[in-house]
Formats: sequence, structure tokens, C-alpha cells
Amino acid sequence: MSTTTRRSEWLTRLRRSGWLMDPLAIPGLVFVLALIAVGAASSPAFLGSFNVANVLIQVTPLILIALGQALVIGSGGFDLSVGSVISVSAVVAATLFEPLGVLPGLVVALLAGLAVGLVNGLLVAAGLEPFLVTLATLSAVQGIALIIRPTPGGVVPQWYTEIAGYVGTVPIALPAVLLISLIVRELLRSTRTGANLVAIGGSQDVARLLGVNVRWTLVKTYLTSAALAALAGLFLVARTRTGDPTIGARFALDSIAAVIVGGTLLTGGRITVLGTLIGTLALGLIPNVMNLAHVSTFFQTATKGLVLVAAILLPNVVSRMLARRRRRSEVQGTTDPLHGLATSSPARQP
Amino acid sequence: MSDTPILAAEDVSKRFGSTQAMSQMSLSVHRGEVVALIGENGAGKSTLVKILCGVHRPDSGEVLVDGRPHAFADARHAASEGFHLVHQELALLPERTVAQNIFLGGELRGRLGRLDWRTMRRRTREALAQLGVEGVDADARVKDLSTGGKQMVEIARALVGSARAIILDEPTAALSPAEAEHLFSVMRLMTQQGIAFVYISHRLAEIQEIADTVVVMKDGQHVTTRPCEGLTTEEMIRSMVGREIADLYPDRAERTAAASKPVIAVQGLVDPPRVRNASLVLHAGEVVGLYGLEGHGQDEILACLAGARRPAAGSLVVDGRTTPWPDVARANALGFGYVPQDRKTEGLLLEFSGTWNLTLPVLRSVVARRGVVSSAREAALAGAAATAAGIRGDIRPPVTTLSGGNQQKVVLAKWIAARSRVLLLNQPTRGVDVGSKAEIYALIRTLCDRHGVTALVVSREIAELKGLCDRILVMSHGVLADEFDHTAGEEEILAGAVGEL
Repeated sequence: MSTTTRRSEWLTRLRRSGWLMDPLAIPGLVFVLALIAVGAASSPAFLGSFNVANVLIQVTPLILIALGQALVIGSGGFDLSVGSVISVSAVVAATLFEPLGVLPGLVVALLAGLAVGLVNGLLVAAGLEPFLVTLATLSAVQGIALIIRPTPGGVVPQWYTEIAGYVGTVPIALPAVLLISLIVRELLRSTRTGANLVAIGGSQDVARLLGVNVRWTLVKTYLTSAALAALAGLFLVARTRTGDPTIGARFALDSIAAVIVGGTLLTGGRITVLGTLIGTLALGLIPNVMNLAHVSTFFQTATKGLVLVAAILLPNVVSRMLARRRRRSEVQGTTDPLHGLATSSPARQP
Repeated sequence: MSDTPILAAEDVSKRFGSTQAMSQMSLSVHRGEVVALIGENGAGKSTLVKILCGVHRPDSGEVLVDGRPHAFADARHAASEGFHLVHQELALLPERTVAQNIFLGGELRGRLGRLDWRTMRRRTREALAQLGVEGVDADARVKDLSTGGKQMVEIARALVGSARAIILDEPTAALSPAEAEHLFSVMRLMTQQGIAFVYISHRLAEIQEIADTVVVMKDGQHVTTRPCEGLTTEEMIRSMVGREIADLYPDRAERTAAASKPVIAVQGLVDPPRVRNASLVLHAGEVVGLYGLEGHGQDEILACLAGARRPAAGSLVVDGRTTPWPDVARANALGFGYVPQDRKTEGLLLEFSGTWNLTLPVLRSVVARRGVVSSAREAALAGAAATAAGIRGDIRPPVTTLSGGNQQKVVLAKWIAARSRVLLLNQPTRGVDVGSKAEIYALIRTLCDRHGVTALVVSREIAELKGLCDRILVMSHGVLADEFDHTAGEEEILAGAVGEL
């Protein structure tokens, strides 16, 4: 008995330290490990440096987008416009690099993304449905990107493309992106804005009642999501060496899928950053593993959907199993029906 | 007690849209005093405490702190000065931890402006210890706590700041007797430290136990303020309702249970973890009470009969025929009508009209030709049920526009529309004002006496079961342990439920 107590104390301390993974992320982790196992089994090339580098460079921009998406979903919303923000920042940057220079081009591209975030944030803060607001900006901003540059083009200096390069098998940008993940995690854990954001996702009414500035927090949330998406767009300019007005299109759904596979609650109120990284990795691995297993492209798209459904169902099945186990242990009288209250109530089991 | 009240409302009035919610209302509370605020549902109690705590601004009149006019900007501002409101619907985030909930909106910052969770957790533990709460971890997620535990988290929120007055809006509505008793001992402890309470409750017996002063409201206005000592429950009811209620409970037709035929017979019901063994027989036209301490299985028995839970073992005989345990649709077909304990989440579709709620179980019979719902037939059926149940108010808009008492009548009336033969009622008068209570009791009694309906009633108040029922079954530790006549003493019944005396 005493050993288990000591162990649980040790666990509690670890959990408090914040370095233990949110249990919600465990199914995603299992899923990623399973993908790796399947990949390694189906082809020796899977663990080869070329393939690892390929997966990592795919994942790098998605991490940025998924982090922003996790914040928005955690606040109780959705950001469908991230794809258009990526596209618009990409075409703005590629168009302005030559006339203005790289740095001004980057700044203007980032500001363009932030402008979209501001519109999203203000409209959501005004009480409009996030789904509808971002669906509208998705369309409008995609249109703007196509007006600026109907076809891929623009001039991207050679040195700028280096940020999409590698050191060995690791993309140069990856450490920076992981650092941003840490910052987001720190933002959630150690700032009022972070605490308020998650509180709003839990219940806007409760948050408002306790004096949280709901509107301003929502504006900041959508600004952050747009800023991260714009950064991803700037990375993609370097990687593709062009400004492509439709490059962001697929990222909205991929980012939402990554966030959910990672364990963040779709209903808001609880975010796991580590889980989001895991979910992103899963999204990067699914097409890669299927390629290596020689699944045809058409089947890939369909299979990806099935695999995602499975990944999202799994946590439900697991939590139901845990609930059943808890129920069984309650029968044995290990759980006090008055759990959480010290009373001399006669209601306790003898 | 000093003479200057620490918090007071003076002649406050408040209007919401076209309704005058409050006019010229006054209330004051002194250091260490417990003021009970009572009145029927819709009397304006919640509005008044929201004005006191800065959630609403009064249109006229003033809020006084230490005798001086003082306008709170919002609830946060009031809380920072020590005036806390514990909400009726708990203002908690289930997915966040106890400490995160307690400091929500007022997180402490440490070095570099980072949130100082270490200190916040320590202060959380201290506050919980001060409340005498054991076994609640500052890092536990709130969704894993019992209702009583959640209530304590709300009160702890007041304690981590400097509390001067705590306003409790119906804190015991969802608490078990043991949890309520614990709350009272905590309140007594805190009043000794000079903290004042304003306490809203419908349970008058509790008020006599805990309050110093009783303030009665009716229709947004002050009726009377009296010391609690010497005030009887009957007097309180009279001033709340403004009319005599000779008897809260209806007369019962004399009957001998054995004479009428059995409708339901349950043998050896097991539904882990809470129901270990229950056997019971209900006869036509009977009102049977089912009493048990919180979590002793009475809620689950009702849910099993209603088809909301599937028991692990046990047989069910309906009208002499052995029947498999029903699902909800089958229970409905058998003529079982279920009134769950929380009408807002389980009993009603809040955004639906009263009409739709009333006809939902019998949609089939309001369907006219070609599978289209006939609004005429729907309105007629709902109207008849509403009249039979004595629902006051328009049933066409969403049910949220009705008062609590009328909402509860809608939940009951849909089973009148469905012509249910067996009513499974879990706390049918929970959170309902005294006037509506009497009407609901009379309605249940009429259905049983005149129409041969059988009712099985779960309640947390023994007095209610004694007043309403013919006999009372008692659950203890998951076993149907005892049976009493309605004339049995409250102590006797409680002892049966405790099961150890």
C-alpha cells in the first residue's frame, strides 16, 4: 500500500511539474507509434534519412498552423480561414520581395495575415459563429490571393529559400518551430491570456461572470492563429520558391484533424500542445506510410479519412473502457459516494 | 454585530425590457450575520443578489458598503472588495483543475509576470482546509468532483480573496442532506470569523437552522424582514405566497394497497455500483415514495424502470406479465412516464416551445395524413395537457420563458398527454416555489386517485414524501431495506435509510 502511495505522490509531482503528457494525447501517441511500426514493416526506406527528412519538412509548416488552430479550437471556435491566410501571405511576400526587398516583403505579408485574424477576431468577439465567420474570410481572402497573383510566380531570392533547407536530415526551420510550440505552451500555462482563452472555451458565460475580458481575448486568439498561419505561408514560399495563390487550401482541414487526433477537446476548454505536435506528426505520416505501402493516390485520400475516423474513435473507446473499469471498482466499494467531502455522514460504506 | 450593515441595497429598482423585475427593494446584512432571502420563484431574489454583487446595475436606488453608496463596476470588482456571489448554476469549468477554477479571472502573477501556480495551489489547499474539505486535490479536474465538492470549490473561491460577505443562491438545491449539513457547519465557522451570508433557499427547514434574519420578497418587492427566531415555517410560507395555504399537501383518498391490483413488480434488481438488491411492488392508484441518502441507489431504480439505465440483473413484471427491462421507447410504450431530476438538461428541450415539449412523447398521435405533423392537433393536445396540469403562461414560445414551477409542470404534463399509467418522478418539486409545489402535489394526487395512475416518487425531503405518498420505501446502501406507512415519523424513516441505527 505504501509503495503505491509513494508512487502516486511521485506521479502527482510529475503531473504538477507540467512535463507529463495530458492523458488526452495518449491515443494520438499510440496512433503515431502504430503508423511508424507499419511504415517500418512495409519498407526499409521508411526509416531511411531521405524519408525522415521528407516527413519532417512536410510537418514543419503544419505544426505552426495546428498550434494556432489548437488555440482557436480550445477557445471554443474554429479557424477555417488559415489556408487562405497562408496563400495570401505567400503571394504577398513573393510579389513584394523584388520591389521592396525581403524584409519589408515579409513584414507586409505578416501584416496581411494579421489583418485577416483581426477581422475574424472582431467578428467572433461580436458574437458571430466562428465557423461562419472564418468560412466567409476563407472565401474572401482566397479570392484576394488569386487577384494579387492568379498563377504561381514572383521572385524568391536564393538565400531566402535556405530557411526551407536541412542540416543533415533535420529541417533548419524545425527547431524554430519547436521553440514556437514551447512558447505557445508557456502562453497557455503561465499567462492570464492563456488561462482566459481556455476558460472561454470551457464556458463563455462562466468566463464573463468572473471578469474575463472575453472579447479582447478572442481577438488575440484569432490574431495568433492568423500570425502562425502567415508564418507557415512564408516558410512555404521558401520551400516552393514561388508565391502560389492556392498553396494553403488543404491546410485548414489538415490542421483541424491534427489538433483533434492530438487530443485537444473539439468542444473547447482543454488544449494539449504536445498532443498537437503528435497529431501533426500523424497527419504527416499517414500519406507517407501509404506511399511506401504502394497505396494508389485515389485510395490514399479515402483511406486517410477512414484512418482519421479510427484515430478519433479510439479515444472514445478507451475512455469508455476506463469508465467501465472505474464502475467495476466502485462496486467493490473503493470509491466513496461522497467523494470530495469530509463529513461524518452515515452514507459511507461500512 | 455592529450597527452599520457591511452590505446593503436601498430602494433598488430594476427593469429588464418591459418587465419590472424589482421595485424599491431593500436588504441589509451585518458582519457575521446570515440573512435568508426567500420568496417564490420569480420573486426577484436572484436579481437582487446580482445587484448586490455588481452583476447588474440598479436603475434607481443604491448599493451601500459600510453605509456609504458604492457602485461596483462588475462582479470582479465586487469580489475584489470581498463580496462574492456563489451562483445557482455553478460557475465552474469542468475541464480545468480546482486551482485553475478558483483563481479564474484573478490569477496571481509571480516573477517575470508569469502565473504563479505554486502559490495559487497552496492557497487553494489552504482554503479547502479552512472549509474542512478533505480529499479534494488542488490539481483534480472539477468534472471529477461530486456536486458538494463543486459547491465547496465555489465557496473556496470567495475564501482565497478577502471575504466580507458571501451570497449563496440556492446552494443546497443539488446537495445531499449530508453535504448540506457540512455546508452549514462551514457557514457557522465562517460567521464566527465575521463573514456575513445572504442565503437563498426554498427549503424553509434549513433556513430555520442557519439564518439569523429572514427577508421575504414577492413580485420584486420587499414583504417583510424578521428575525428568524420564533418564525414558523407556516408563517414564512404565508408571507411568501401572500395567501393562506392551509395545507401544502393534498388530502389523500383512503385506500388499502392490497385491494388494488399490482401494476409493476420488480424482483432482485441489481444495477452496479449503486443498486445491489431491490424488490418492490406498485399497485394501481398508489403514490409510493422512495427515499434514500444521496447515492444509495434510489435514482438508479427509477432510471432502470424508465429505460434510461440497463440493470445487470432482476426481473420485471408489468400487469402480471414478465417483461424484459425496457429501453426508453419501450418504457414509453408500456405507459411509463419519467420525470428526471434535472429538468433543464434531462426533462426539457429548452429552446423548444412548451407545445413541442408536451407532444414530443406522443408525436405519433399528432401526426396527420402523409406523415406530416398537424399543428392543429398538436396545439389541441398540448393545450389540453397544459390545462389539466394547470400551467400558467403561454406554451407557444420556448419553455425558458416559463417560470420554474410552470416548466416543471410541462415536464409532468407531457406524460398526461401521453396518458401514462405509471409516473416515475425524481424530485418532482426540485427548485420550485411553494405555490407551484402545492399544485404539483395536488396534480399527482388527482392523477392517482381519479385515474388510477401509479406514481413512484424519489425525493430528498422526507416531509415531502410523508405528505404526498401512501407509503414510503427506503433504500440503504443499495438495498431496498425498509417500508413505512406515511404516518411514520421522519426520524424513523431516516434511521431506516442510514441503516446503522
